[in-house]
Amino acid sequence: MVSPYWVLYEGFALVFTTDNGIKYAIDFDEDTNPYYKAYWLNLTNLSNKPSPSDKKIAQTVICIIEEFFRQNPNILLYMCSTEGGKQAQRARLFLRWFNGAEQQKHYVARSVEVRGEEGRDEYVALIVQRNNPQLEEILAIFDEEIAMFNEQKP
Amino acid sequence: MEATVTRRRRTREEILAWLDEARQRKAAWQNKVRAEFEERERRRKEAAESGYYDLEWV
Repeated sequence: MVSPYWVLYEGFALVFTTDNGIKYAIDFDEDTNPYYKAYWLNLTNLSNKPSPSDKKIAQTVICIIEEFFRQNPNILLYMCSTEGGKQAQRARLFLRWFNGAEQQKHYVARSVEVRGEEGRDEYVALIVQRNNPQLEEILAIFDEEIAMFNEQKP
Repeated sequence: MEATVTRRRRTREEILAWLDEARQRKAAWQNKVRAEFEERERRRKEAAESGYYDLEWV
Protein backbone atom coordinates (compact mmCIF):
# COMPACT_ATOMS: atom_id res chain seq x y z
CA MET A 1 0.00 0.00 0.00
CA VAL A 2 1.24 3.49 -0.82
CA SER A 3 0.51 6.31 1.60
CA PRO A 4 -2.04 8.69 0.05
CA TYR A 5 -0.54 11.64 1.93
CA TRP A 6 3.09 12.67 1.96
CA VAL A 7 4.64 11.93 5.34
CA LEU A 8 7.57 14.08 6.38
CA TYR A 9 9.81 13.96 9.40
CA GLU A 10 9.59 17.52 10.71
CA GLY A 11 12.32 17.23 13.32
CA PHE A 12 9.91 16.53 16.18
CA ALA A 13 7.58 13.88 14.69
CA LEU A 14 6.29 12.43 11.44
CA VAL A 15 3.77 14.89 10.03
CA PHE A 16 1.21 14.70 7.23
CA THR A 17 -1.33 17.19 5.95
CA THR A 18 -4.77 16.14 4.74
CA ASP A 19 -6.70 17.48 1.75
CA ASN A 20 -8.63 19.59 4.27
CA GLY A 21 -5.44 21.21 5.51
CA ILE A 22 -5.44 19.35 8.84
CA LYS A 23 -1.99 18.41 10.07
CA TYR A 24 -1.34 15.25 12.05
CA ALA A 25 1.77 14.29 14.00
CA ILE A 26 2.65 10.69 14.69
CA ASP A 27 5.43 9.06 16.66
CA PHE A 28 6.39 5.94 18.63
CA ASP A 29 7.41 5.89 22.29
CA GLU A 30 9.03 2.88 23.94
CA ASP A 31 6.87 1.19 26.56
CA THR A 32 8.02 0.09 30.00
CA ASN A 33 6.15 -3.22 30.45
CA PRO A 34 8.31 -6.01 31.95
CA TYR A 35 7.37 -8.72 29.42
CA TYR A 36 8.00 -7.70 25.84
CA LYS A 37 9.46 -4.86 23.88
CA ALA A 38 6.57 -2.63 22.87
CA TYR A 39 5.93 0.89 21.68
CA TRP A 40 3.08 3.29 22.22
CA LEU A 41 1.71 4.88 19.09
CA ASN A 42 1.24 8.61 19.53
CA LEU A 43 -1.08 10.39 17.12
CA THR A 44 -2.42 13.92 17.40
CA ASN A 45 -4.24 16.52 15.36
CA LEU A 46 -2.01 19.62 15.30
CA SER A 47 -4.54 21.92 13.70
CA ASN A 48 -6.95 22.23 16.62
CA LYS A 49 -9.99 21.78 14.41
CA PRO A 50 -12.01 18.63 13.79
CA SER A 51 -11.24 16.69 10.66
CA PRO A 52 -14.06 15.79 8.29
CA SER A 53 -14.36 12.08 7.54
CA ASP A 54 -11.34 11.15 5.43
CA LYS A 55 -10.35 7.57 4.55
CA LYS A 56 -6.89 8.73 3.53
CA ILE A 57 -6.02 9.45 7.18
CA ALA A 58 -6.51 5.79 8.13
CA GLN A 59 -4.60 4.62 5.04
CA THR A 60 -1.71 6.95 5.86
CA VAL A 61 -1.55 5.85 9.49
CA ILE A 62 -1.66 2.19 8.44
CA CYS A 63 1.23 2.78 6.03
CA ILE A 64 3.27 4.39 8.81
CA ILE A 65 2.51 1.47 11.14
CA GLU A 66 3.41 -1.06 8.42
CA GLU A 67 6.73 0.70 8.05
CA PHE A 68 7.18 0.54 11.83
CA PHE A 69 6.63 -3.24 11.75
CA ARG A 70 9.00 -3.60 8.79
CA GLN A 71 11.73 -2.02 10.87
CA ASN A 72 11.08 -3.94 14.08
CA PRO A 73 8.96 -6.91 15.05
CA ASN A 74 7.68 -5.55 18.31
CA ILE A 75 4.30 -4.84 19.77
CA LEU A 76 2.32 -1.69 19.24
CA LEU A 77 0.05 -0.19 21.87
CA TYR A 78 -2.35 2.69 21.48
CA MET A 79 -4.16 4.63 24.18
CA CYS A 80 -7.17 6.48 22.82
CA SER A 81 -7.50 10.14 23.69
CA THR A 82 -10.20 10.84 26.26
CA GLU A 83 -10.80 14.32 24.83
CA GLY A 84 -14.52 15.05 24.70
CA GLY A 85 -15.29 11.68 26.32
CA LYS A 86 -15.13 10.05 22.88
CA GLN A 87 -12.57 7.37 23.69
CA ALA A 88 -14.97 4.49 22.97
CA GLN A 89 -15.70 5.82 19.46
CA ARG A 90 -11.98 6.37 18.85
CA ALA A 91 -11.19 2.82 19.94
CA ARG A 92 -13.84 1.42 17.58
CA LEU A 93 -12.53 3.53 14.71
CA PHE A 94 -8.93 2.55 15.37
CA LEU A 95 -9.85 -1.12 15.50
CA ARG A 96 -11.83 -0.85 12.29
CA TRP A 97 -8.70 0.39 10.54
CA PHE A 98 -6.92 -2.82 11.53
CA ASN A 99 -9.76 -5.19 10.97
CA GLY A 100 -9.88 -4.61 7.23
CA ALA A 101 -9.47 -7.77 5.17
CA GLU A 102 -5.91 -6.96 4.15
CA GLN A 103 -4.78 -5.93 7.64
CA GLN A 104 -6.29 -9.03 9.26
CA LYS A 105 -3.97 -11.20 7.19
CA HIS A 106 -0.99 -9.62 8.87
CA TYR A 107 -2.03 -8.33 12.28
CA VAL A 108 -4.05 -9.17 15.33
CA ALA A 109 -5.61 -6.03 16.76
CA ARG A 110 -7.79 -5.78 19.80
CA SER A 111 -8.88 -3.05 22.11
CA VAL A 112 -10.01 -3.27 25.70
CA GLU A 113 -11.80 -0.97 28.04
CA VAL A 114 -9.78 -0.19 31.14
CA ARG A 115 -12.01 0.89 33.98
CA GLY A 116 -9.80 3.42 35.71
CA GLU A 117 -10.01 5.39 38.89
CA GLU A 118 -12.71 7.98 39.47
CA GLY A 119 -14.89 6.53 36.75
CA ARG A 120 -12.36 7.42 34.06
CA ASP A 121 -12.65 4.69 31.45
CA GLU A 122 -9.93 4.36 28.89
CA TYR A 123 -9.33 2.19 25.88
CA VAL A 124 -6.03 0.54 25.13
CA ALA A 125 -5.43 -1.17 21.81
CA LEU A 126 -2.81 -3.79 21.05
CA ILE A 127 -1.49 -4.67 17.62
CA VAL A 128 0.79 -7.65 17.04
CA GLN A 129 1.99 -9.17 13.81
CA ARG A 130 0.52 -12.61 13.15
CA ASN A 131 3.98 -13.99 12.46
CA ASN A 132 5.23 -12.98 15.91
CA PRO A 133 6.46 -16.27 17.45
CA GLN A 134 5.13 -15.21 20.86
CA LEU A 135 1.72 -14.07 19.61
CA GLU A 136 -0.39 -16.39 21.78
CA GLU A 137 1.53 -15.59 24.94
CA ILE A 138 1.39 -11.84 24.28
CA LEU A 139 -2.38 -11.92 23.78
CA ALA A 140 -2.88 -14.13 26.84
CA ILE A 141 -0.92 -11.78 29.11
CA PHE A 142 -2.70 -8.72 27.73
CA ASP A 143 -6.17 -10.24 28.20
CA GLU A 144 -5.35 -11.70 31.61
CA GLU A 145 -3.93 -8.49 33.02
CA ILE A 146 -6.73 -6.25 31.78
CA ALA A 147 -9.38 -8.70 33.05
CA MET A 148 -7.70 -8.83 36.45
CA PHE A 149 -7.41 -5.03 36.50
CA ASN A 150 -11.09 -4.52 35.72
CA GLU A 151 -12.30 -7.24 38.11
CA GLN A 152 -10.30 -5.92 41.03
CA LYS A 153 -11.63 -2.40 40.77
CA PRO A 154 -11.71 -1.08 44.32
CA MET B 1 16.07 -29.19 27.27
CA GLU B 2 14.17 -25.97 26.76
CA ALA B 3 13.95 -23.70 29.77
CA THR B 4 10.55 -22.33 30.71
CA VAL B 5 10.49 -18.78 31.98
CA THR B 6 7.60 -17.96 34.25
CA ARG B 7 7.12 -14.27 34.63
CA ARG B 8 5.39 -12.84 37.64
CA ARG B 9 2.24 -11.05 36.58
CA ARG B 10 1.87 -7.42 37.51
CA THR B 11 -0.40 -6.38 40.31
CA ARG B 12 -3.31 -4.00 39.80
CA GLU B 13 -1.22 -1.18 41.31
CA GLU B 14 1.64 -1.89 38.92
CA ILE B 15 -0.72 -1.85 35.94
CA LEU B 16 -2.28 1.37 37.19
CA ALA B 17 1.19 2.95 37.46
CA TRP B 18 2.05 1.68 33.97
CA LEU B 19 -1.10 3.21 32.48
CA ASP B 20 -0.56 6.48 34.36
CA GLU B 21 2.97 6.72 33.05
CA ALA B 22 1.83 6.00 29.49
CA ARG B 23 -0.91 8.63 29.78
CA GLN B 24 1.48 11.23 31.15
CA ARG B 25 4.07 10.56 28.47
CA LYS B 26 1.42 10.79 25.78
CA ALA B 27 0.21 14.15 27.16
CA ALA B 28 3.80 15.43 27.38
CA TRP B 29 4.45 14.34 23.80
CA GLN B 30 1.28 16.08 22.59
CA ASN B 31 2.21 19.30 24.37
CA LYS B 32 5.74 19.15 22.97
CA VAL B 33 4.76 18.56 19.34
CA ARG B 34 2.00 21.17 19.48
CA ALA B 35 4.42 23.74 20.93
CA GLU B 36 7.03 22.87 18.27
CA PHE B 37 4.43 23.08 15.53
CA GLU B 38 3.04 26.42 16.74
CA GLU B 39 6.55 27.88 16.97
CA ARG B 40 7.35 26.75 13.42
CA GLU B 41 4.08 28.17 12.13
CA ARG B 42 4.78 31.47 13.91
CA ARG B 43 8.25 31.69 12.37
CA ARG B 44 6.91 30.69 8.95
CA LYS B 45 4.25 33.43 9.11
CA GLU B 46 6.77 35.96 10.38
CA ALA B 47 9.14 35.15 7.51
CA ALA B 48 6.33 35.35 4.95
CA GLU B 49 5.09 38.70 6.27
CA SER B 50 8.57 40.17 6.41
CA GLY B 51 8.96 39.76 2.66
CA TYR B 52 12.24 38.04 3.34
CA TYR B 53 12.32 34.34 2.64
CA ASP B 54 14.95 32.57 4.59
CA LEU B 55 16.19 29.56 2.65
CA GLU B 56 15.28 27.36 5.62
CA TRP B 57 11.59 27.96 4.97
CA VAL B 58 11.51 27.81 1.18
